[in-house]
Amino acid sequence: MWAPALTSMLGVWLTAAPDVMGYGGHARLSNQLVGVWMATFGVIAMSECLRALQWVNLALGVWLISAPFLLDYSDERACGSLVVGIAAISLTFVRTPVRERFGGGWTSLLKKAEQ
Amino acid sequence: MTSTVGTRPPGWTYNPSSWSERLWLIGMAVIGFLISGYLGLYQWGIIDSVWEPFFGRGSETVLHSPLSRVLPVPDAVLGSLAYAIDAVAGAVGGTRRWKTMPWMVILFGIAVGPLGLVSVLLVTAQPLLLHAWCTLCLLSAVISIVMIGPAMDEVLASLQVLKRAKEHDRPLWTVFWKGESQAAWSR
Repeated sequence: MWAPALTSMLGVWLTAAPDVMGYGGHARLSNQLVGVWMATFGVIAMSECLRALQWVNLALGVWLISAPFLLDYSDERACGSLVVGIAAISLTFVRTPVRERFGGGWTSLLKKAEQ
Repeated sequence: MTSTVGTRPPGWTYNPSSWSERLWLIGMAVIGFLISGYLGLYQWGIIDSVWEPFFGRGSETVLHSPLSRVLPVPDAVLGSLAYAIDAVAGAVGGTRRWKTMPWMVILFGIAVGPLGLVSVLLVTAQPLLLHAWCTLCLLSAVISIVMIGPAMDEVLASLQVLKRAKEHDRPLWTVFWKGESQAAWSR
């Protein structure tokens, strides 16, 4: 539970960073868009039954690493994007023990009946 | 009180419809209702000013933005309506409602899920379109998002009931509205 919680904190920072550090342009757009959704999916993935949604944050982390190159910005904004991106990706691989069982979970809805 | 064992969905370690799972969700919905109700009254002009401790005139900018007036009713009023549905749909039914009232559980999930999604979209719009932040709007969004995960487990249990009904060729529509009778489980 702490890993997605930490990821959502990264999302909050990402959202606030452009206004706190005072930068604009593509870096601002990218960070605030990604930040809000990273915070959201971090919070949702804190619930064990929706833990799988943390993989959305893996994708967002990959975007953060690519963004400085694709959107062509450098300096400390690029550095921040890389650091947060790598941290978010790493956190999705943290295995926290799942305590509860959910009757096969969401995938059970797609499976055929067992005989 | 009856034992919780009989109220658990098959293959579950806990009962998602128990009051300990639901009461705080209802509480969150009530707080969300009060916050967005307050913001809605401001948008309607019934209250003259809005509480904003951090972002200066941010709340005024956000709450009087063209985006908040896309629909005939201000967005916070719709938000408070959605929270009211959350609270009621969260409260109706007993601790077996995941199987006795699938429709209520699914209505609850539909109210909580998209409401949360819309909140996130509105939060995104604050800095990107309006370059302003609104403290109470953010707090309301946090409440909506926090509710999503804990509400969805109950929805999953009800969807599993419908899936089993379909597999056993029981009338899906009847199970959706009236639930699965206790006897139907013993095979």
